[in-house]
Amino acid sequence: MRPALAYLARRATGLAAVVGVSSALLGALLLFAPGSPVAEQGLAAWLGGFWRGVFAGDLGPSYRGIPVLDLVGRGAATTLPIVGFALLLSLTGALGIVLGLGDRVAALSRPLRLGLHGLSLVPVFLLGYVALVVFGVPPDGPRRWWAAVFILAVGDGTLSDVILGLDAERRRLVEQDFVHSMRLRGLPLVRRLAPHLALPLAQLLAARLVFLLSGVLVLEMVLGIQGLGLMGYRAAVKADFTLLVAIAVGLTGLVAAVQLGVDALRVAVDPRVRKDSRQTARGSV
Amino acid sequence: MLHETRRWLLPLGLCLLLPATVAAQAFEYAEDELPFTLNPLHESSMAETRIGELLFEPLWGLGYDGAPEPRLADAYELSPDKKSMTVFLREGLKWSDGTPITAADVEFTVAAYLNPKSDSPDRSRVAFIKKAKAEGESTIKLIFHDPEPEPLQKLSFKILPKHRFESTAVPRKDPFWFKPTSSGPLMVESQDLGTWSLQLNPEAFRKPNIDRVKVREMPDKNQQVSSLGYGYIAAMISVPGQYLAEIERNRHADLVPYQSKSWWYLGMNGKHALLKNVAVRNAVGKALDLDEALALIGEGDRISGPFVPSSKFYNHADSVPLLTPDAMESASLMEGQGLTFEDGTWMHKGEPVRLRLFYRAGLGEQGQTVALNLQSQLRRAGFDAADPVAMDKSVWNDKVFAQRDFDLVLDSWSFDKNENVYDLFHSKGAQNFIAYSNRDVDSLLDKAIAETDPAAKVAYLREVHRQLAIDQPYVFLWSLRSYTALRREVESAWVSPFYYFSQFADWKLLPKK
Repeated sequence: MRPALAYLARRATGLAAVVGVSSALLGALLLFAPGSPVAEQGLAAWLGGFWRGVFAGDLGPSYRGIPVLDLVGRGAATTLPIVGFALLLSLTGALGIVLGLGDRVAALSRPLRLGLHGLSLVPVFLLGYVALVVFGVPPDGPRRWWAAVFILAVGDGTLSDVILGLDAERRRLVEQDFVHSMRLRGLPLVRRLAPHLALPLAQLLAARLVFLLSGVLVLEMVLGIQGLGLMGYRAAVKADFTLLVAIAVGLTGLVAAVQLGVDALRVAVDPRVRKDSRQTARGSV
Repeated sequence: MLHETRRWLLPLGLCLLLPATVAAQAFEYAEDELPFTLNPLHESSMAETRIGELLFEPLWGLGYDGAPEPRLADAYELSPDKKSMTVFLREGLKWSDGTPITAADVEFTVAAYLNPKSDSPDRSRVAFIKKAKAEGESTIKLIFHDPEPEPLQKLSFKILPKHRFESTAVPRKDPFWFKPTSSGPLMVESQDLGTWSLQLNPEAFRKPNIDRVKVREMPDKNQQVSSLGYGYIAAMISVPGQYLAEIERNRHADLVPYQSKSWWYLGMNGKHALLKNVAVRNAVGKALDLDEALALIGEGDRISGPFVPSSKFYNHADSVPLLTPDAMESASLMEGQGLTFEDGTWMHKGEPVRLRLFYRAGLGEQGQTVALNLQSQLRRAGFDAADPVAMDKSVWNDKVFAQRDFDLVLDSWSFDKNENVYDLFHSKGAQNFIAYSNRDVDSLLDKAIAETDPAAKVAYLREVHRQLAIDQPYVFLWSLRSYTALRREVESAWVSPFYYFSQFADWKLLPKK
C-alpha cells in the first residue's frame, strides 16, 4: 500500500472511531432521558443493536411510521442540497468579490465593508424571519429553497468568513516569490494559483460545514422545511431516540467524510504532507 | 468577474424580494404539527381530530345550533327504558371507493373501538355502548350499559369502513393510517413529509364548496402569521395571545373567537409523601398567583373546578371561590403539617421540600412560559422547585400515566360536548393518574353517570366541582380564550367548539383579491 493511502486509511479509521464514539456518547446521554430504551436495555446492548441496524439497513420504524433510515434519507435529500448550494453560493460570492476586485477589496469603502460583514454576522434564524415577514417567502416551492440557500450562504458569518479567509490566502500568495516571478514573466496567474488556493479553501469550507449544518437545523424550523433539522427536533420531542441518534450520527459521519476529503486533497496537492505522511507511515511499521 | 456574478445574483435577489402575487386555489391551513395518523381510532391530537372531520362522518355531528344533527344516520328510535336504540342510516351512502356504507360498518367501528388490542385512546368515548348489532343493510341496534337519555351527542365518533380491515383489532401501523377510505366531504389525494393534500370525495353526501384542502405543518408561529398575511394559507388554527394584535392589524384576515371546552391544570401526585395531604396541596395552591401566570400567555377565564365557566356543570356558587394567592395562609397550612421554614426554604424531616414539575410539550411556548413562572413562584414561596421538563405524549404516558413518577404536572384537558370528568377523578377512572381518591366524589360521579334526569345530573356534577375545589387534586388554572384566524376570502365559515371543521362543507373560498 502506498504511504499516502496508508495515511488516509489511518485518518479514515480515526474518523470512523470518532463517529462510533459520538454514538456512544449520545447513547450515554440518553440514559438520563425519560422513557429512553437505552436505560431499559443498557448502553452496550442498545448501541450494539443500533449499529447492527445501521449495517443491516433497518433501524425499525420511526415515530411517523416510516422506517428510520428511509426518513433520514428523505431528510438528507432535503437538507444536504441546501447546505451544499449554500457553500457553493458563499464560495462563488467570495471568489467574485476577492478575485474580481483583487486589491480593491481592502479599498472598499469602510461603510460598505462594515455593511457586508454586518449582514453576514446576522444569525440565520433572524434572516429567516426577515425573509418570512419582509419578503414573504412562501411555505414551499423554489423561492423558499433559494431563500434558505441564500440565508445560509450569508448568515452566521459564513460569507464574511469565506471572504476574509480567501482574501488572506490571496494576499499570502501574491507576496510569494514565484508569483512575483510569474508576473514578471507575464504568465497567467489564475491557473497556476488555483492548486495553491484549493487546500486552504477546502479547509475553510470544511470548517464552515459544521456551522452550516447547525444553521440549517434552525432555519428548517423557521421556514418549515422538512429536513434533518425539523426531523431531529420532532424526534427529540417525540422521544424517538433511534431517529435522533441516527440523524446525529449521520451528520457526524458527513462531517468526518468531508474532513477525510480535505485530507485526501491535502495529500494530493501538498508535497510536504505527502513527505510527512510517508515518514509517518514508515515510522509506524 | 463581478459583472458575471451580477448576472445570476440579480434574478435571485428579485426572486426573494417579490411578494406573493399568486395564491393557491386550495384551502390551505397550518398546523403546528402535522396530523400523523388519519385513522380515527388512533387520533391523539387536535390536529388529527380536525383532519378527521374532513375525512369521516359520524352518525351524528354538531349542528349550527350546538345540537346533534344527523350525518350518516337518518333517524332513530330510543327504547322506553333508554337502554337501547335503533339507528337507521341514510339511503345510498357510499365510501370514497364506491363501497356502500352499511350498518355492518357501524357494528365494526364500535367493536374496533372497544377491542383493547386496537389500543384506541378514545375507547372511553364508546364505552357506554355494550353492543352494536347490524339488523339489515341500514339498520343498527345499539345496546347501552346504562340508560342513555341523550345518546345522540355521544354518537359523534367517526365510522370506519369494515372492508378495509381484517379484524376489529386494528394495529396502529395498519396502512389505513395514511391511505384511508373516506365518508366525509374530502378524501386523501397525496402526502409528503410536511403536508396532507385532500380532494373532493365524489361519493360524499355532504358535497363541500371547497374541493381541495391542504394541511401544512408550520412549527413556527411567526411563519404561520406571515403566511396568513401573505395569503399562502387561509386559516391559522390557533393564535397565541402575543400575535393577536398583529393579526388584528392585518387587512386580509380576521380573528375569530371560538370557545374550546378545555382548561389548564397543575396536577399533584397523590402518591407523593406530602402532596397526598390536602393541606399541603392547598398550601401549594395558595402560594401561586395564577393571574400573574395567565397574564403571561394571553386572555382566559380562571376556573375553580373541572369545567369551563360557560358549562352548565360549573359551580358558580360563592362557596366555590377562585383560588387567590395568600402567602400567610399558605405558610400557616405548611406549618400546620409540621413543616419548618429555614433559610427561605420549606423543610420536611431535615430535607428541603423538592418538587419536580413536568409539562406536556404539546402546550408549546405557552406551556413553557407558565411552567417557568410557576417554578419561579414556588421557589419564591420556599419550595425547592426543579427546572420544569417538557415531555412529549409518549414519554408522558410512560412516566406520568404508567409510572406516576412526578410531583407536579402542567397540562390541559379538552372535552367534547359531554364534558365527562369521570375518568379523571373517580378512584377507578382510567385517567386518574394523580391517584386521587374520595368516596364522596366517587359516589357523585357514579350517580351522575347513571342519572337519566339532566337536572339531577347537573346537580351531582356541580357538587363534584365543589368537592374538587376543596380537595384540590389539581390546582385548576384557567380556560384560555381561543382565537383562530381566517383570511377574508373564506366565507360562511363557522368554527364550532372542539369540532373545528364540523360544517366545513358549507365553507366557501372566494378568489383572492
